[in-house]
Amino acid sequence: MPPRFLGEFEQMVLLATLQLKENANAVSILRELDARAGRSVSRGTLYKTLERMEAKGLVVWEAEEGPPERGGHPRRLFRVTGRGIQALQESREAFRRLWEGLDEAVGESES
Amino acid sequence: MGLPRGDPARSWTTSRPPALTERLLRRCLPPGITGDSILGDLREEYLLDLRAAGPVWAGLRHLRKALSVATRFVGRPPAIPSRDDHQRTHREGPMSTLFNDLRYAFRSLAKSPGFSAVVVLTLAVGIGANVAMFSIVDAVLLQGLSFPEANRLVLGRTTYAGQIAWNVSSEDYYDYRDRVEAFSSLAAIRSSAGDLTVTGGEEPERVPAIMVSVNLFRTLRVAPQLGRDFVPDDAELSAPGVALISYGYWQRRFGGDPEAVGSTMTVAGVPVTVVGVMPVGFFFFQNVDIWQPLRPGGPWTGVRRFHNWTLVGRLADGVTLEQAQAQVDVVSAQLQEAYPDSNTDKGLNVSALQAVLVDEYDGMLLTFMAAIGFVLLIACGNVAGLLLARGSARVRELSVRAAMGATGGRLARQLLGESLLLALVAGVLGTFLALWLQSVALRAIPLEYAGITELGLSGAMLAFALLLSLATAVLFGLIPAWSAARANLGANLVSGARTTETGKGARLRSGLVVLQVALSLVLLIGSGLLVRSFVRLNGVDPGFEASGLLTARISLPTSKYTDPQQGIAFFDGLLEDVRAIPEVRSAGLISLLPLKDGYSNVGAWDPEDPPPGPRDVVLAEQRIVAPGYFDAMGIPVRLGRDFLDPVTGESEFVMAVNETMARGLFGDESPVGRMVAVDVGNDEPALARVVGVVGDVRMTGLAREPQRQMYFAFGQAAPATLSMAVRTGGDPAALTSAVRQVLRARDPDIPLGSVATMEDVVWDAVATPRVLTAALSAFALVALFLSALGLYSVLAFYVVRRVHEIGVRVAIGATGRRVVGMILYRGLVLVAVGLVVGLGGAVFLTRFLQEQLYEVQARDPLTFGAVSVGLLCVAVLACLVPAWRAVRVDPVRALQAE
Repeated sequence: MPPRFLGEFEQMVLLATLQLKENANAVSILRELDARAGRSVSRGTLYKTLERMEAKGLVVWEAEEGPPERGGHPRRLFRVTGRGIQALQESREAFRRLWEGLDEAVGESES
Repeated sequence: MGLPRGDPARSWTTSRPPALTERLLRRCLPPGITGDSILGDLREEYLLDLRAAGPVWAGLRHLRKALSVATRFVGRPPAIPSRDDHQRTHREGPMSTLFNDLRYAFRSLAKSPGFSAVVVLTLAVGIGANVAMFSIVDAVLLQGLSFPEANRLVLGRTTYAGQIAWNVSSEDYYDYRDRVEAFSSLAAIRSSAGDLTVTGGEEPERVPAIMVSVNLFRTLRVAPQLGRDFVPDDAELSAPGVALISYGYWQRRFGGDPEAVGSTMTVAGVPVTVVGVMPVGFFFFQNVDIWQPLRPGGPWTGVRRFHNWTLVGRLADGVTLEQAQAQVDVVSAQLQEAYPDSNTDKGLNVSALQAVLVDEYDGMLLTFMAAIGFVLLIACGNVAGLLLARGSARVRELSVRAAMGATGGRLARQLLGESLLLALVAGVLGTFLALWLQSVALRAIPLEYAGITELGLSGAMLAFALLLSLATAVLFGLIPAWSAARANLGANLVSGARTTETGKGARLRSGLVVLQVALSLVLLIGSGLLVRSFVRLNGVDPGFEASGLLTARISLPTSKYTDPQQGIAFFDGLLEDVRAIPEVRSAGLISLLPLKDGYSNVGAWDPEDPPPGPRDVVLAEQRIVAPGYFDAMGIPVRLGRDFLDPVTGESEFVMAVNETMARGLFGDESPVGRMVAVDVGNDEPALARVVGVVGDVRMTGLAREPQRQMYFAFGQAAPATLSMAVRTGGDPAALTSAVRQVLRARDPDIPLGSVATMEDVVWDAVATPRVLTAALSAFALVALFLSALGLYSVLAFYVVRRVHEIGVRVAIGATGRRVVGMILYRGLVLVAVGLVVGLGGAVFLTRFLQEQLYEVQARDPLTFGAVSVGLLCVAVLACLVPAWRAVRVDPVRALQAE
């Protein structure tokens, strides 16, 4: 059964993974988060989040042989599963409903 | 010592992260592809950082990321079984448990930053002091000399009827060298170094120099790093002058130029060729920059009665110390027979060099080490008390943990983890503190004989710091941990108690206080004894007026001043010019200033009552002075007169003697006008007439009683090197440039050397006892403060625990005095027990201080009594604060609180 809601950071990681298409590995996800969302994340947090989302069935990974600069260590390429996409859609819908009618209110406030 | 210490620095230019970090990280990561890929990710990022920001930042960032990853993975089972695992792996190895405990400890301590800071600082001071002291003890006592096979090096010292006298004469040295086969090599080094004037540079300079036999460095097995060692030909009197210079001097004077070897410089007016440069950090016995070869027939040689040399030898292969001594004894017997005048009852003692050097210092260093160890123990006691209190205040938290399944052992381990973390952080801080304390200690404790001029961080020091930190953690952490493990936590959960202290915990803390009081008392008594001794020493009358005196040393180059009359005229004129300086009240000259310039003594006796044999000749300190010296120094002329004008004055060979010598030679009779026979190194003694008797002077140390002293007129002896003493009404240091100008006007090639005020000289003369006293007193005061704090906190806690009881007592009529009495009694019982234990300890331990004490007994009852009373007063004060709080307990509130 898919989770009802995603945490904010889980959403960001899934979205960054989708943005990166076939090139989503831990290093590129971190850079994508930093570049698009201005979010600097600790390595430990990212790996734990990926692990948790894998347990929930939201992402899967495939290993590929890493380039020489990785010293022979493999690279994991992450992909968002169908379940993950569904969870994103549900989260987006939930936020959309919560945001309804607030454009003016939020638009008037000073940020 | 011999060769430089320390490892070379490692460079950090590498294209992969540090292997150690990766290895440690691998142990924390899940096995298989997951862990592998994470390592690869970090390596990939490291290379990106390396290109962007360089190796240092890349390394630091890699470390940060590794820690972030490790803390996430260590100790936790994976969220799902890893895809490539064949079985669940639950990481509960010792490493992850330790990591967990430390992480828990960190969080727990971070919640009480003030408490943690106090504990860490307390321990850091104690650990730092111990590590600093250890590094010195290690260098002096444990490391040994750093020459190859240093255990084969021996020291040869003259003995008279079995009593060791240290110095050996040159003639005896040559005989032992040539006849004793037990030594593969026997060398000699002049017993004291002197400053020589070196010219040829921009300015003339005074440089410490010493004479050594040409085989000294071969004996030590140290070769010059540039040029050559001395060779046997250099020992010929007719050979050209040669010298070896120190690395430091090579850098300073020659800028490290290899062309220095083979160049010429003028030393004491004699041209000398530099033949080699000694290795960096080389040191042996004396801190000098120039070594010159001993030449038979040259200075300080020729008279078998004059002992100026220290002998150092290397045992031949397979020869033991005892065998060498036996051979030496045979030669000594031969010399006694051949030279009865000089060698009757004289022998040579052969001892291991290392053992002799260690002997000089072990008493003092071990005293320090013990004192600092005490302070650390007291600090640990305090910290243990604090932790016990904290542990008992956390009983609810611990009870919850116990209810959730944590065993007593697990709780104890977690508390020990806190202790470990505190101790390790304190250890790191303490090590930095130790480096600073080292430099302070080296400035204060004269360790030149042992060859220590600098220390720094060593492997042994770091290992000691780590071990001490671990031991400290166990010492102060074990009791609270054990206490927590044994506590009946379940019962506390039920009762809802927020804080409690079991009877056992209270007894433990009381026991700690008793121990702290005892240790403090021992330290305080030790420091009290030293303070009394130092006050006595400082109060010793040196025999002259030290204030207002400037001193300096002036040496005439003998190549320029070949005729002794030239030297006399020079010094005479210089004195006149110096006396003409407006601020100068008086000025004088002497060959060797008291407490500063070393010593020189020869035999002297009443010719009408000569000693029966050479062994019965009593030595007297000899000095050469210019007229006006006694006046300038404030030395009273008791009888007779000062010397007359050096150029025209005296008609016969004259001398002045001190009161001790006058009494020794002539009893109660006036010595003025009497003749004294003086051994001047010839077959027949010289006869001098006594013209004056002056006051006794402490020549070689404030603690040494004045010996026989005799003074000769410089117009009749004309040495080339003299020390000047200049008296002024104002600040003597302000005279320096005026005196220097006057000297330069007379001869620009002669520098003004060893400038110091006489007050500084006297101050330096008591450097060792001063440092020892100051240090021990500081330790003792810290110990007292910590103990008082410990006592206060025990009683404060006692009051808190007894609030209800106190409230009841007050409610039923107890007066404030009774309440105070109750608390005081409790506290003073502990102090009394501590005092008894401490007194016993002090009686046993203070005898090790006797060597350092001047005119004070190690079991001086006045000191013991006064210190005990003092400690008692401080203890009473420490008890009064919680007692005062107890009095102010509101009985109504106290009764309601339960």
